[in-house]
Amino acid sequence: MNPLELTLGIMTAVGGFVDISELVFAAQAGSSFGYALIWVFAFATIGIIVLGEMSGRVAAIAKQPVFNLMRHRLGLKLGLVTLLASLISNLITCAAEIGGLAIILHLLTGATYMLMAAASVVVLIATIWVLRFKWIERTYGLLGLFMVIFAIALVKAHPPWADVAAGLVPHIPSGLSSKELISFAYFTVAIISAVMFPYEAYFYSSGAIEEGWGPKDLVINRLTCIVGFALGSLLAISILANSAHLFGPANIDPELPGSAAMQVALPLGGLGLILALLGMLFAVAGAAVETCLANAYSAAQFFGWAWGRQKKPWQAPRFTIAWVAIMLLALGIILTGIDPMKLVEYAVLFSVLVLPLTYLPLLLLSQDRHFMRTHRNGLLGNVLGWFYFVVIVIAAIAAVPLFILTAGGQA
Amino acid sequence: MVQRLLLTCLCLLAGCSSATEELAAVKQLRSATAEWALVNREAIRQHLPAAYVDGLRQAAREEIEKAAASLRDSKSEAARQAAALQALPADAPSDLLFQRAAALKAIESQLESA
Repeated sequence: MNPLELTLGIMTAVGGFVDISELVFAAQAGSSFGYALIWVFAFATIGIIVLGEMSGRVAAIAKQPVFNLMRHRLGLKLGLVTLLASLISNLITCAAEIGGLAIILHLLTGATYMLMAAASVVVLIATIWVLRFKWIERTYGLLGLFMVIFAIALVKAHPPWADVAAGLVPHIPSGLSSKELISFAYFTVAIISAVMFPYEAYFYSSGAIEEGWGPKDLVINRLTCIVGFALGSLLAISILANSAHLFGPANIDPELPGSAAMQVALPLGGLGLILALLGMLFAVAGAAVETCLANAYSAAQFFGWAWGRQKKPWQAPRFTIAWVAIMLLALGIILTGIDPMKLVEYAVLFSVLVLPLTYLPLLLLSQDRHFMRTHRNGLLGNVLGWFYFVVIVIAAIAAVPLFILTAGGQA
Repeated sequence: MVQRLLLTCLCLLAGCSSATEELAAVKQLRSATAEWALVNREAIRQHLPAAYVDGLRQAAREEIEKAAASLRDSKSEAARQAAALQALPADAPSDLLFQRAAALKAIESQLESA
């Protein structure tokens, strides 16, 4: 195991953890409920560690990406339904990320939002076209490490650390009205969905196959998931805690990603603000690339096309057309003038509905003796895997009623 | 009998929905106003980049405009606050904006307890 590769893998996972939905929901959760939702981030992070590790392990041993499994395990009809739902969910998420990128660039440069959306897509397409998979992942993941500024800002802001630590203990705050309880439940479901987005599993497992992972890479897989995702989650928790400490008392429910950067400006000034905006820019750009490629991977794997960024674009023509088309479609959605923050809400809603169908075939295959041999799930992996499956099924059932009752978390 | 019950349920749902929308609009107004106030305060204190300050001010004012448009009663206290906010310049004093946000918070609390 190459220590440099491992370090880079972990740092990439840290920098690539946060996306537009985590930015928005972490900031809103903090301002609305103080530190009370920190445990949900921690809880969902354990879930994505368990299921992410499984998807990497299945890719390394069975050489099966998630969508290939779906078709075989769920059958053609249910597989097709899942494919369509995933494509829609990822497309909405990709559009939301591009909208977020355009907002951040608008705040950095003052150029118009629509122009910045178009420019972002041109740059994203160029980088996916030019760079190999590993460098696409590393470029955005490592530059996303500017997000560490949110953790530094939290330390500098001196929050009540005892309250922050208490937020890690699963609880529902006492004294909430019934409306607030419903809103708390909505944020719980939204955070679980935002942390466990299905595109992460599609992208991670496809990436493992792109990089030719085998049994020797299982340690890297495990460490990347455990250390990388846990540290990445700390950044999201920092955003929540900053928001609880600085925005809640000021009566601000930050709805724009640009507002989240203000939590860094308060303790660290203008330079901190620019570093925060840059971190958000690269983190969100990385997520836009991941969602776009995840869709192309899904379609290609389902229909059996040649796929992968290790190949030249013309060696996998339908895959190439698919990811370019998805990026342009996402831009088209943004150019209609739709509010990107509404898209974030819809993305989270759609994703939670797709989550059970994403993770069920993965769970089934990861414990299959025939495919996984000695690398199948152990007792702990199985217990945790099925526990989180039940959690996401409950979240999927509750998502739509909670979305309607809270007007998408607004009331 | 069943028709009457259904009609009652629909009326209750409609009433609940419009009250929820009103509360959401007041929350949006309050939050955007407080955000605008914070930006204006920090723009002076921290010398924040002009593009960022202008962008957030514009976003806050658009939010206020949107929220004001979705208020049902144009003569309500929330609507009066919204109209007063819309008349203010982008670089309005932060103290004044914080006061408006506090007034909107009080309206919001009333709506929540209703």
